[in-house]
Amino acid sequence: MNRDFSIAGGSLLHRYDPRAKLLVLLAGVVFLFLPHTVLPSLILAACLAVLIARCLGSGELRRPVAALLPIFLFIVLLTPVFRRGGTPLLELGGVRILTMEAVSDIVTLSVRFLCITLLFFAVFRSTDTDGLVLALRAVGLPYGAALMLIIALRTIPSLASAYRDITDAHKLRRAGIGREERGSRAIVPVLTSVLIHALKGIPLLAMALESRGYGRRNPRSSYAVLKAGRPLALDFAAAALMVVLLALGALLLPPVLPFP
Amino acid sequence: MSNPAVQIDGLSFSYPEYYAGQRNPVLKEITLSIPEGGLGVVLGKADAGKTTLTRVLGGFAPRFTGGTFSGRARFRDTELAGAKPYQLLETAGFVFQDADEQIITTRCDTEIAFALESLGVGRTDMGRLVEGALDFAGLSGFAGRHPATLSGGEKKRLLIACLKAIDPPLWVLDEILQELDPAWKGKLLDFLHDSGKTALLLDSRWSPLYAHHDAGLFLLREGQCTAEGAWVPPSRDAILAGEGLLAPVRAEPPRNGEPHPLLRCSRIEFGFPAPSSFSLHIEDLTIQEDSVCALVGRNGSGKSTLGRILCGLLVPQSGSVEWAGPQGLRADPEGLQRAVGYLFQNPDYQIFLPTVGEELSFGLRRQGVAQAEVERRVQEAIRVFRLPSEGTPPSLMGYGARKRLQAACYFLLERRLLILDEADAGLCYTDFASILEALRSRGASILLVTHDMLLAATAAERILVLDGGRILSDTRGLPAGFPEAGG
Repeated sequence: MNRDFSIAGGSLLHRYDPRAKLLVLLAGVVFLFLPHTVLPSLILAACLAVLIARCLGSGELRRPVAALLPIFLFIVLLTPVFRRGGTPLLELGGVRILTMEAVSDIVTLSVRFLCITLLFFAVFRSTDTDGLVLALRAVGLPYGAALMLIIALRTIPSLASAYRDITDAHKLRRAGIGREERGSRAIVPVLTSVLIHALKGIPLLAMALESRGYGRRNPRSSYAVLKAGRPLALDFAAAALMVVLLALGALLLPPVLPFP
Repeated sequence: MSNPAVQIDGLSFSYPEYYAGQRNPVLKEITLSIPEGGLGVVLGKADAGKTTLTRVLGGFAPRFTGGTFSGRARFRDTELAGAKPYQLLETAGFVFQDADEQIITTRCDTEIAFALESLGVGRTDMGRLVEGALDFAGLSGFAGRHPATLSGGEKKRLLIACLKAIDPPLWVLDEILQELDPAWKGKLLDFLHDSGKTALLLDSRWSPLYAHHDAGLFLLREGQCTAEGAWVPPSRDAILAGEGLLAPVRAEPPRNGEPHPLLRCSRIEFGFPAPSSFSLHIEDLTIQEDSVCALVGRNGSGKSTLGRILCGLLVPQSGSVEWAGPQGLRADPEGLQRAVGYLFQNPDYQIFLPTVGEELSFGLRRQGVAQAEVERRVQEAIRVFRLPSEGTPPSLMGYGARKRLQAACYFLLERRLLILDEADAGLCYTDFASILEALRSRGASILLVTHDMLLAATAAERILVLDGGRILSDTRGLPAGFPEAGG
């Protein structure tokens, strides 16, 4: 059974039109890859963090941040190795360990990853499947492609759910016999069951879809509807304002390093 | 028979060679017919070929499974076998054996609407049809609920609602009755009869409801199908009993003497987080040593939740679960997990090694049992549970054999209490009875979660009826007025 990435709710973020969300998402990604100071990105990250905490709950904010911690660790460990040129900050036996430029890159990359993650998290966590499919169709994506995209997005939460169920099942079978295994020895049997479950699920999903008429050539109608009229215009006006603010942030502040 | 609506002539099907554990051909020259508006029931043990027959009739096999078929299957003028499933949407509706395999969306209302969208039904009509279908299936307040939060029977009802919205003239339902509570079993068959639907049900157990609805019976055995009129000897009960499809008469009398308590629960309170409003409240419950207790109740009454609390997978917000019998057993969640076995409905969740032999010896080796003893016990389990040879990969075994393997693993673990959560689903009576008997032979107490009242009445000494998260009755045998006919 499919699990959704989104959570139900009636917050401002939930009510915001999915098409406008996609526009802001696109503008945000473009903005983050433009050369500019870290400051606008930090402001964006702070705004997103506040939005997520207010609309989805402060507990939700921990999820993307926790997922990013290993990436942050890699950035901190690997960037100084590949960025040795520039003003030295730390030298050991004549070898440059850390430079000003490396610190600048660490901050820039980390903030960029944080912003992108928060941006996608805010959009996908607050948009249900039907809204997303309709929004993707509205921008010209065929229904089949939109549905496949949604199914792909659901794969991780669906597998995570299967993983939890299978872990429970294994826990009961293994409890109290022999020593308790940890690490890879404990996880491999669970992953094996999850893998078998996932592989068996591929043809079953296809069967389920076709049993409900997926594949028919007639025009498809829609049970869910998106906003129209003034509410939609207001959402797009807000999206346009955000795009303008992002553009101003990128254009008005010179493309310089955070620690010149 | 005049004017058959469903006509299957010489239908055979073989899976590709790599389905090494499957018998080939799985279906052999099947011929059957069902009149317009009639009910046909194909009975057969697990692995007899019922699900394969459903898949061939729906066009799912060989399209998604590979393999080859020959022969014909038609409904009125429409060819079923070999058709693309989406072409049959308005002609034939299918409910799969495992509801989780068929549910696509993440809300109950959109699940029903999905097929209507495929047909291009207008939004106003769609809203009316979705609402009507939810109401029909007793799921009126469930429109926005995630199907994953429904009980097994409620999921089946959701799939029935999906068919009701489309309203095809032919309904093909695979093992539909086993997870439905008794009231819903009757309601579904009454609806099929009263609305003039032509229906084909596939079941691993005979139900008195089939006789009540004048169903045409067919027996599927090793891929071959015979109609009731051709059964030899022509005694229906003798044939069904011989196949294990009829509820057995209680083999052993209820135990006498003073029962010894094993596990005691008191004042348990448990609730799921919002949006679920379900809460479980168990004032006092004692499970006796060396006993079989059945836990029955309507879909969503809290049976699985109680089972998961008793085995330590869920922790109640208040109240206690205590070992009353053996000393030295801890009653905290970890202690319960060590002493209580829980057979999940899906056997694949508890099977994870490449061969039958490795699965069976896994627990014994971890306990440090000597090699010779391991081999002896593995052979014993293979014999008792009628499993294939040690080297057989479980993933290629049939459903019934995988269920027996799952039970055999617990048989070797020798747990004090075993919770069988709808573990009988998809198995015929004799297959399940043999599993139960083998598990009981080691002195384990059994808590049997089931919707099959006949099974509960014959297999259990005591029957607990759960309703709305509360124990409604606790009796020896079925409580007075309980709908036994639900099968």
